[in-house]
Amino acid sequence: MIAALAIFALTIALWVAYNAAPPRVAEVVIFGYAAGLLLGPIVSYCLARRVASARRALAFGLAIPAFWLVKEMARVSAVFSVPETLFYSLSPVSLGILSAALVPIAVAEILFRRRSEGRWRLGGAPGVVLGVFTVLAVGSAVVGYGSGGNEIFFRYIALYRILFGAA
Amino acid sequence: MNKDDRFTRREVLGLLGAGAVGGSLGGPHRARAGKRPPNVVFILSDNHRWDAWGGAGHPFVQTPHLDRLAREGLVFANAFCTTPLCSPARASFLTGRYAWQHEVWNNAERGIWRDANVTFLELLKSQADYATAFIGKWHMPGSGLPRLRGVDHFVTFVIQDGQGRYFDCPLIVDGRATASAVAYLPEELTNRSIAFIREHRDEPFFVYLSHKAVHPPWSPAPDQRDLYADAEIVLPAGANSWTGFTNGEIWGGFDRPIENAIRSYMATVTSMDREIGRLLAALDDLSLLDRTVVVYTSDNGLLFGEHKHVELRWPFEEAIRLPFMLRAPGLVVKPGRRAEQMALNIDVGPTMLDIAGVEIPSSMQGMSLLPAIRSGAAPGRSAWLVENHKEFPYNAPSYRGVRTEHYLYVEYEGRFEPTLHDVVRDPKQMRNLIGTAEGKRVRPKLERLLTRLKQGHRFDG
Repeated sequence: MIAALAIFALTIALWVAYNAAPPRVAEVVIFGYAAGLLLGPIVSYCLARRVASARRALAFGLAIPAFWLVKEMARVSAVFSVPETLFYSLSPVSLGILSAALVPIAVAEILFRRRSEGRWRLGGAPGVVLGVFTVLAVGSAVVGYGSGGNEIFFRYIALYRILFGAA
Repeated sequence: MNKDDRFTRREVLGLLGAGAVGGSLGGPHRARAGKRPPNVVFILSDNHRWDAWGGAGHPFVQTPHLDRLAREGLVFANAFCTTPLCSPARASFLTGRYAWQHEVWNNAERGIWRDANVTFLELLKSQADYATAFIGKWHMPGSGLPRLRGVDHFVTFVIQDGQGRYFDCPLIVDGRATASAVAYLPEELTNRSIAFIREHRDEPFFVYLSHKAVHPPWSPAPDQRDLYADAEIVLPAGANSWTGFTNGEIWGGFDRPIENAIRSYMATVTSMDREIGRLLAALDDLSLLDRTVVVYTSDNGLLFGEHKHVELRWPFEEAIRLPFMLRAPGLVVKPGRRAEQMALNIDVGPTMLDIAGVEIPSSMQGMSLLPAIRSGAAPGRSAWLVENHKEFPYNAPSYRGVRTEHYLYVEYEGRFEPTLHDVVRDPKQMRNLIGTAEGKRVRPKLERLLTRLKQGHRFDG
């Protein structure tokens, strides 16, 4: 638990350091921050899961991406409305950060179950997570095939126009 | 003048020609029957920074053909876009109006291009019987492509929200889906421009060539991909290699470290310049070069990490300044001159009309730059409006500001405090004068100017 909290605190500290440091230092710090953002969730989850329930461990695992999302939405809210800010949480980048956390956690939970129960059990939350992000990944691949990330972004903006209207 | 202060025959003929053309284009007036107006090729690039070409003193980018336009023509050293964003800026070029008037507010979801908009191309067609072509990036919000009145030949693309793609870009040619004949889009657009010129060489023509270059994802021609692979890049103060990945800047399209992005960007500039060279060569081969006004500019600039931004929408000089040059034998009396008068994107339409001898409608806010083209002593504008309308999910808020020859004062919507910069003594805009003694002294006047600009008042000399 303490180790998981330490990873969370370290990641936030690296984010602060990145924004405050001189450029040459920031270029090194960012790798630590990126590692915290992308690997911190799965490491925190696994550390917490050894001594806690899946639900509690999930809270530790999602603390870092939740921090990231809250700070991003705080930034966006300076320009956009509350509904638009909430829609930002569905952006390709937001979903990417979330999937980088949730997919490994779901796989880790399935492995924990295998070890503790002696059988493969894909049902429940991990199965739902894997299902949802598999659909998103396949959808992104289909949309982006040949065009790359731009097309995914344009579809996201098209959805924005539908929801929030175009003058 | 040559070295020993005598005019060469070419210079005398140039002066006489300038007198003849200038005399026939003395001011806004209807095109005269029987007098053929000059041909025009207007080249509009995308996101080309004002300092990213050879003649601007860039340390490594090679742009021999833009340099030639500057050397043989005129450079507007203080050229700007009134909204640093593709669609609003492009609408301003076409209509001669500010964004708050043509109402194309941003690229995606606010405001649309309305078919009722009157472009200067329509006026050139109806009043001076130009053969007109719009070739390239249209990129306006709204459903589908417009009905462009006064355009004989309309070649564009709609994929990727109108941004197109650098290779194998499917085109829409006069309403019909058409495959590109060559792979590289800048080359394809140049080929089609040359073909139009060839077809209409015996009548006055206007080609509006709207390049995708140098918009992300920067893609030079295949043989120029590694042109600047070893170029040393010095980032602006405060920026690091990964600025484009953090704090919401990722939407700016920098999908790699800034240094690599800049190298690709500059190589794409050189690739585009090569196509400009081919177009100039084609005009020369057809004996049209000295009867054709060639204009080059861009829709807006781009921040390379200045103020920790890697996009365009902000009111910083790197985003609002434009490269702007014009080669016009007979109009430009002293080739190689720099015009210091402030020139705006909304001035292009009135200028093109004035060159053609067509009356400039009062609905256009821009002014003709023809007096400034002829003389460095011509009065220029003293203030103009710069504006942006927020666009999801980009960081830049809505704002309106006034740019004079010395100051840029900007008022923002939302939680952002106003900014005031002395752009002469602080061109990098590192020091906000709000709250300082100088700021308190000049701010009231700038606020009054801004109020009047928002009401539509003009300060064009």
